[in-house]
Amino acid sequence: MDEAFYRALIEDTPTLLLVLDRYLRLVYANAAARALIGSPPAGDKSARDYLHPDDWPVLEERLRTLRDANSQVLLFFRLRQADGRWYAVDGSIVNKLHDERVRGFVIYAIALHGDRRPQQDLSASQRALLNNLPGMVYRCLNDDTWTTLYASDGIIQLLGYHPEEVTHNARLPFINLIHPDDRQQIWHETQIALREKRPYELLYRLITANGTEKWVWDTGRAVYDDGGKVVVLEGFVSDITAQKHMEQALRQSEAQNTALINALPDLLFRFDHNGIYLDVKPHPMLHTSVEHLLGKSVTDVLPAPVGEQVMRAIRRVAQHRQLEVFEYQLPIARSGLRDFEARIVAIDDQQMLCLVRDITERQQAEHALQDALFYIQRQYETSRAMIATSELTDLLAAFVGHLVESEHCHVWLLVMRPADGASPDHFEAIAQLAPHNSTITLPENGLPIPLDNTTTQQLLQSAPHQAIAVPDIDMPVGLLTPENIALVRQFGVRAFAVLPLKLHQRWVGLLLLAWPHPRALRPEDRQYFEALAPQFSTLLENRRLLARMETALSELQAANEKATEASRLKSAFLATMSHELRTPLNTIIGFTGIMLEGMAGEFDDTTRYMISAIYESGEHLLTIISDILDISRIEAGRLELVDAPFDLHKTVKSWKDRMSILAEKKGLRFDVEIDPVLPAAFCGDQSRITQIATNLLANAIKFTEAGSIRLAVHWHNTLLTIVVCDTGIGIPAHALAFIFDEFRQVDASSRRVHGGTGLGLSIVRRLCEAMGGSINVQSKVGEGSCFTATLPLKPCVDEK
Amino acid sequence: MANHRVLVVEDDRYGSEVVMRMLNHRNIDVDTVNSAEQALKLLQENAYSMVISDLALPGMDGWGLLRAIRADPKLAPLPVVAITAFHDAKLALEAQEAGFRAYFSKPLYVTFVDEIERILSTL
Repeated sequence: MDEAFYRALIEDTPTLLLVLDRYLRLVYANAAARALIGSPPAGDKSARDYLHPDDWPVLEERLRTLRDANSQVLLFFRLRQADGRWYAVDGSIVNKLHDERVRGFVIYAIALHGDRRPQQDLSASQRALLNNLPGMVYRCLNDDTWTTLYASDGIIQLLGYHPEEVTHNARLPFINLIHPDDRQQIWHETQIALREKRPYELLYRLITANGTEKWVWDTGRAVYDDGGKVVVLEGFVSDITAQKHMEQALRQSEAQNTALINALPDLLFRFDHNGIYLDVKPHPMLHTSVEHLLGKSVTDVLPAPVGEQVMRAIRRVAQHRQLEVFEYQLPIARSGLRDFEARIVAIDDQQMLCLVRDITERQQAEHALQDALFYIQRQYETSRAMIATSELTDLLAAFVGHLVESEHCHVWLLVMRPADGASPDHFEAIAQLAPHNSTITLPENGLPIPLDNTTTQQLLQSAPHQAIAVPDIDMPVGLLTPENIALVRQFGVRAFAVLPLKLHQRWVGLLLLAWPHPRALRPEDRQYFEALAPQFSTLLENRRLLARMETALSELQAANEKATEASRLKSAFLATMSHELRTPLNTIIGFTGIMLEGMAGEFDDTTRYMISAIYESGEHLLTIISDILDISRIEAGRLELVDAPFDLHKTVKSWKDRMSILAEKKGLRFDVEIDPVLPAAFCGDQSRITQIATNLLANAIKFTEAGSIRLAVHWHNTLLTIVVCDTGIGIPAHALAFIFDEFRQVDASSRRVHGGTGLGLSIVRRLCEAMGGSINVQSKVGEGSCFTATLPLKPCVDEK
Repeated sequence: MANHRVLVVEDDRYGSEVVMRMLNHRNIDVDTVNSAEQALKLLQENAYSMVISDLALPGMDGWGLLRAIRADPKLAPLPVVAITAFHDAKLALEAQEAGFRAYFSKPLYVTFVDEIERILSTL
């Protein structure tokens, strides 16, 4: 065929055909192209003038890189129509610079909105290009089987079929490859897009040769004829099975997240970095529509202080990317002031999530708990302080001190006067606490509340420990007369409370609290007072009793000291008297003794008799003095016992030596009996034991005219027994009861016969008792008497 | 028993004479003074075998005299015997502890001299 044939063909093909020279000047446009852009001027007009300014740089760039002969590029660009409108084309540009016959770039373009018929086939090069694309390029008819005109080789990989198998429904109509469930849907969507003359995007499933499903993404568009009727559909199918699976998984987890989010009691907001609401979860707590919030700033929506607080938190989160938790209060319609807790966390660089929870109930519970804890703590501390402190002011401070400085409260502790507890008519302040810089002025009696009968009668009727409060004296409750109210006001008191302190229905005192400002007694204060008042009353009562006891005790001590002093003086007096009596007696007995011993020459019998009488009288007087001194000492409790070592054998021998002389004088037998083996040394008062024994022996000898005297001394197991028996006159039964009493003798007349002071046995008994021992007697008139003294006595423990 | 010279310190004139007569009868020389101060003076002048002193004296008492004698190195070994009209077992023990060689409560019996002679015989 000759060139004219081809030229005619080219000239008349509906495909736009343009040729540019190496300088990108438009040198040829076929009839189709010329119809569109008008006739180009002869040869030197740049292609640039025919292209959309946005598309030119792309075209230029592509042409520059299109170096190889016959190399080709597909490009979308817009051509300027003769009437100035833009005409979109899909172009394929081939480098023919090296073709002697062309020496330029050939552009084949298909009008996207054009009025030309699309070409039925694709060039080989186009086909090669398309076949290398992942996925499948297709061209098909808009019929009920999607009759395929062309399918790229991508279908092999995509579905396992060969292009020939589907082309022109050779083996399989394309509709058969589409999942049955999706066929209707994509038909529907496609027809809508075509009707609106826009490209379509489809998502559906294809069935592969081996029966598996593949999710595909199909984008395409229709080619229309001049009448606007669809000629073919061209598009690209890509495999998105992997993405679809991922998406499914994502959707699943998203569903879970959504469920979780919906289940959250929290308000959920999404903000950008500037605090603009991006998203809001609908919530019953939200008292405004979601739309109202979107796009607005938190500072526009929230009241100033809260908005700023949230904004600061948002800025911190933006800066540090760390969770921010904070609390705030917000007035909510119909609910009043509510407490909220907000948590803001960064999602990414641009946005953050904010969860807000209503914590009002939690806060209230916490505050209630804190209040309760504080109350318990205060009660505990006060109780402890009350136990620990003894000062009345400290006690008062422990009990009500917390009110004094914090509330300018004055506190008085009053007790009954007189402290009879019968009527609460008269009170006396015994302790008080006042705040610094007090504005309450006190009258002379020290109390700013007149506790007259009206007041006190009411108190009298009140239950014990139930506080009576007057929160504002301007609103009196009848506790005060109008005159008294004026008076109280004058003192600067605006509110007061009284806490009666009673114990077992008995008045202990009164606690008076006064404030310079109106002040209601809070329930917790009332509870506190009434819980601790019984303790406080008990404490006060104990103090009162203790004070009374201490007074009684000190009075007793004073009396005792006085008695002791009197007794000491008496003893000292007696000791002095004894000394003074003994000094002249020393002369009497000394000189008469010297005379009787013959140291002062010889005397006749009469003289000697008289000297002897003086001597014996002196002796008698001496015994009386000694006995009186002993008794007075014992009675004054000033008998001092000696605890010194002594030898019992030697001691008993000295008794025998002294007493046998007296017994011999009366012709009495004197038998002495003592344990042969005894500890070497006993510890005790040897002279007092001697006094007991010799007293008993002297008595026995004195009251025995014939027969014998028997002394038996035994020691066994820390007890010393001294038995003195006689065959004397005996003691009548009636007298046995009193013979150990002072100044008592069996027969008053016997004193004249037998002498003695009547103190002897009394001293013996008292000495025995002073040593922790005892004495008893057995006697029969006419037969004799037996005295048994039992004394505790221990052997000496040798300290060396 | 010869060559023993005893100093008797006693403020009661008769009491002093009772002691002197009892001792003289046994051929013991006796000097008498009525105060501790005079006693200390005589002790410096003469050599004595023993001091017999009342405990209750005007001025320095018998206890003070004993301490003064014990405090003087020359006199320290001298035996001192106490006599007193105060009658108390406890006092006797205290006297013994204080360093009196013997203790006699008044009135004094002739047996008192026996004890003094016994003590002098041990010197």
